Amino acid sequence: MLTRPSDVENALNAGRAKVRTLIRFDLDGGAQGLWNETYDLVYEGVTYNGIGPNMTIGQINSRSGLTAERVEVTATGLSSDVQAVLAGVSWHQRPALVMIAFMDDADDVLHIEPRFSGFMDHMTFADAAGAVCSVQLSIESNNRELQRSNGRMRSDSDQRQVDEEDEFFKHTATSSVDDNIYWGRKGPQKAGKPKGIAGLIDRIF
Amino acid sequence: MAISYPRDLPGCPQRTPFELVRFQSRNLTGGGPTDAIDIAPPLWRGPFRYRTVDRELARALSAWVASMRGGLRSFKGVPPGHRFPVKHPRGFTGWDGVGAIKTIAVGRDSATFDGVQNGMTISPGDYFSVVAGSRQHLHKVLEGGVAASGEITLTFEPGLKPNVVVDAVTRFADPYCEMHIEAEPQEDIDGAVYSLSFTGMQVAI
Repeated sequence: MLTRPSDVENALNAGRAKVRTLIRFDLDGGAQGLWNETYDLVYEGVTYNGIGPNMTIGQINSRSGLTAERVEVTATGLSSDVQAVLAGVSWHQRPALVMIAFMDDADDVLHIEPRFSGFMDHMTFADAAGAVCSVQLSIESNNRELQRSNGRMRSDSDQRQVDEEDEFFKHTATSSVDDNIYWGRKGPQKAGKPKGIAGLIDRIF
Repeated sequence: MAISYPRDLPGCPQRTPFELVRFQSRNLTGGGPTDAIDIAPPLWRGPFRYRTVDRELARALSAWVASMRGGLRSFKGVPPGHRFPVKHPRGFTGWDGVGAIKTIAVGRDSATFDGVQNGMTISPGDYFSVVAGSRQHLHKVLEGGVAASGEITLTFEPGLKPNVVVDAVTRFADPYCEMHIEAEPQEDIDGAVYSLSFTGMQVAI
């Protein structure tokens, strides 16, 4: 069960809250962080550099299926040098974690919880005359791992490879057969033996 | 002589309102109250307007705008008409208008300042700015006071960020925040009258 501090719960229930978004990137050289405040924050040993309102997070969807969702992160107002920096960093398919920080009026962090976890997939860099320089990063959800086929089967023989004494799937082959159970009435009746002269002939021949 | 940035505003712009732009998500609920979630730190934004028949000033303004290179460089955004507190329209005599933070209240929306001139009167609507990291953060006074014993306690908005510390230098004369020009500035010459207007947006990081 998700637990939050009582003051965070009270703020959410009242409909008045102050939140900020943090993003953690697990790169080869170590974890890097950004958040949309104007100062730096250290959380769990990672420094989250503040880039203010220049960073926006797209809509985060939640679905009941196993579809891998995406979230778009956009940072604007950047220097053109950023492109050269990003080109020298191995970021593709590295883990990324989007978190939400609940703040109080004094800008103290009350609670931080993860919101979206995935892998950095696409990055679009835009730098054009008359427009701001921006980077848009697409993060693909961890759910994509659920769609990978790994050769496992729902069968007794496959399960025995994990534990030879595990009989959980012992009846899998037979239990998948459909059968009808008639409740409160007779089901289809089998054809019985004929009666009368026809029955006599059937018995003789 | 090399020009340093953020650059001072030239001349004296016309009095215009400064607004604190808040980034909030608001939703009117079915029960009536409006939910408001603050999702990013607020930024100052304000229009700056000049109208002059002084040819020398007009040329200096035109050159100043060119030095901004659109939105690439920053200037000191002093709220027009608020260079000094309203009770000290001509500034301070014998004091440069600079003090320091002595103590910060728990909610960080109130603080006591020392090193100020005795008798200095700060009224609601006056501004001051403090050093925050490498930037100047601008604040509007909500509850003022009269300085005594070199100290004054004020309530203001927005609150002080966590990177603003005790002893931070505070400006009561010419308070400013770093700004960049938002969109294209409008210059016009109508007969002998030169006019210039642009909108400044705070640079918070």
